[in-house]
Amino acid sequence: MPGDGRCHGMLGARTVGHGVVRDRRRQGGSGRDSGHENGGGRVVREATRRGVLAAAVSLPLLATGCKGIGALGTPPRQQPDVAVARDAIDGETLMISRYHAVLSAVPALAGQLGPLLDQHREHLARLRARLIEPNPASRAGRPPAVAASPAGLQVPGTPAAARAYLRHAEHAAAQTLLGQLTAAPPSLAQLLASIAASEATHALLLGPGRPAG
Amino acid sequence: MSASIPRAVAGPAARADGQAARRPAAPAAAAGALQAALAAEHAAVYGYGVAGAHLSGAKQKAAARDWEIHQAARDTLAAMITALGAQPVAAAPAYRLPFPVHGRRAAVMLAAFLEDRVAAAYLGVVALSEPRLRMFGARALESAALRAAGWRGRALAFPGLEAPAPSPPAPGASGPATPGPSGPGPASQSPPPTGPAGA
Repeated sequence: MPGDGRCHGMLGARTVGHGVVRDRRRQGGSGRDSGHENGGGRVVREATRRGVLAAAVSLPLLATGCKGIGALGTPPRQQPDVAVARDAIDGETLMISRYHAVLSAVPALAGQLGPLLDQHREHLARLRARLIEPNPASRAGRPPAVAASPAGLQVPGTPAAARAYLRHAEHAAAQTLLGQLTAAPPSLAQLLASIAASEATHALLLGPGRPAG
Repeated sequence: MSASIPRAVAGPAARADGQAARRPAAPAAAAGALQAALAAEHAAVYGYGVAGAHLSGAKQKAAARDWEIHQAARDTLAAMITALGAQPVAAAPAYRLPFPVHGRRAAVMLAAFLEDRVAAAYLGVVALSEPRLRMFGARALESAALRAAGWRGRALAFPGLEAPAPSPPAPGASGPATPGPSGPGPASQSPPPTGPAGA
């Protein structure tokens, strides 16, 4: 039926303009809903919450009876955890920019900083996987909090000072994530806490007399 | 009787299910997560005793320091669990080690392994909804990750969430104590493959 096809197309656009924190499931995983153990810890999943989010967004569309885009009305308000995830993504993007800026200024640090930079890329990928955002570039009224290029950041030009700069940045980033912890749902809080712990270890390894990485 | 180094025991949900009929859900979940952390601390106290016996000098001092830290954490957790009206889990008389520990390298790797397991257990506390407990878990997770990085000499991307599989040091290997990618020994518990679901 042609009408059915149109309706499905509309429902498929349900996340445009806001974004939903989604539950990350391992590809090819067992599909159990009760959480899994990974290296010892219980990692919380929130299938129920995800279902609630999806339903909350979809129901207004269903209620319109497929009357076209004009009948959609006001999009649902952004969930607080979406803002937390976006802030964390911005924070990781900024850290990556800082590493790039330092590596441009002090290429000799590439060997030491490479493994840490790789871990920040892993953090960013994991955080982005949490957020369904069809077109992140179109985030209305929210300019990127990050310098578009490493050239936009002023960083020290000596190895010791550059390491100290990154050490302070890592420490601050970890503290910022911990500050967001109580605003996040359980599984996102676990990811934020793990990333904060990783960044704290980065700060440790960037300390004087320690080889980073 | 010996127990293997626990994998955060059953996790808060499994315990919460069993206690749901008698207790409100939140304290039961809190007690379960704290019990899992306590079990990991018991194992760490035992394991550091083994590791310290194979270390000397600064590393032995570091092991003694961390051993005391885990004893203090064990006592703190036991008091918290008691305050919730639950009976703290007891330590096993002995624990099965993840790999044979006969020398310095294996002892250092055991210390890193113990911290990985403690970090994973505290991640269960982070999942609790009570803000103070969540922050307590996050701070403890961070401390364990810092100690693990100190032993391992490198950072992990996701402490508590993902850890290298325990593996004994390769015979005759030299250089920093870096666990290999896998170690399918009898006590090895390789973490399942992971990866971000798209980025």
